[in-house]
Amino acid sequence: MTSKLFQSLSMVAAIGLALIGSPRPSDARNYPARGGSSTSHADSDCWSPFGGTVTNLCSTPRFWFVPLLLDGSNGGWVTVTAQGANNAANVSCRAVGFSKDGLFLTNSGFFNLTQFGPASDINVFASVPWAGTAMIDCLVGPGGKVHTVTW
Amino acid sequence: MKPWILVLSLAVIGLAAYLMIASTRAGSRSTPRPGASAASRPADAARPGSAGGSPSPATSRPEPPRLAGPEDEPAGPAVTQPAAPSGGTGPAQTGEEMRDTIEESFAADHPDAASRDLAQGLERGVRAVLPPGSSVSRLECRSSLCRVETVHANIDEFRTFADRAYMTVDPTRVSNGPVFAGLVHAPVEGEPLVAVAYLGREGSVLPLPAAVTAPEEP
Repeated sequence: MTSKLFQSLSMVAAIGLALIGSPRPSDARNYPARGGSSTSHADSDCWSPFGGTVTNLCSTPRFWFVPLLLDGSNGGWVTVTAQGANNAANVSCRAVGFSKDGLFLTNSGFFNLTQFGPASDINVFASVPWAGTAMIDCLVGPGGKVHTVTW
Repeated sequence: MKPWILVLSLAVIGLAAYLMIASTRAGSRSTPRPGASAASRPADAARPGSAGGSPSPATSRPEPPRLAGPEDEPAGPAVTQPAAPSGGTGPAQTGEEMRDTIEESFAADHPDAASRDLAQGLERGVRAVLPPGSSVSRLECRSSLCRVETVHANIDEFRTFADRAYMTVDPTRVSNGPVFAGLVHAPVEGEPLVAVAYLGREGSVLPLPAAVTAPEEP
């Protein structure tokens, strides 16, 4: 009797552990800024990669964009981790979204780094019609860096 | 029961439970949305989403620093991440549904003291970038949103206008705030197109749904 009880409890415990302790997939997607591209091909020599980071080596601000891989949602908050030593190296980003037929579009407006020196986050809201696409546009000052895009 | 049988049984049950949970989570990402019957949407297409959720009025967020001159200092502490607009758990909306959602918010909004001046400035900017065959049919600003209705000879004109007015990074852009723009009706060959755009105040978030909520604090 005790053995049967032990077996039953063991089974229940195993199922419970499987339910509670099973690995949870992370909801966040982290994408290296280097996976994006210079908005203008003429500016391609301005960018220096290091790991997932890109740095603007030119003497004037340049645009870098990063496409977002979506799963059919209406988008949401996107965090761009970027870095600028001073205001001249500021980074300003926006999210733009398009319906799959190109008849609807959204633009979050630009948001800047909130501090200079260490890497910091810029949060923009990406609104995307169902089955549409979205991307991040960042204006990067000289010496400014874009590290990661998370959504 | 022998110990090795017990261990094997537990392992099998645990694996089965794990697989069941994993398949349930995967299934929830590709569940077809019931009632997806809009003409602009493929009838057999699956879209993710869950029940519930309604839009809220435009959400303000703390004013971020603008890209300023080289003499400027960084602007204060980090911007606090605001909550995402409600509707975060609702099904993904099509462009038409998003347009209707924001139209409801605009209808519930009301003009304030700055609305008239804002509308005048906006109209000047819009007219400056209209293609020759396009016109402004209605423009109105309220406390949190402006609504711009334009007429275009064809879809290419609409796209040219939308790019110049709402999307470009050039100074011709009529607003630094968030924008949603699209057609009022589906395009009909040979007939002019009516387009509408909703513009939020700079630093705000449009009252649109999102399936992803605010990022968690580290």
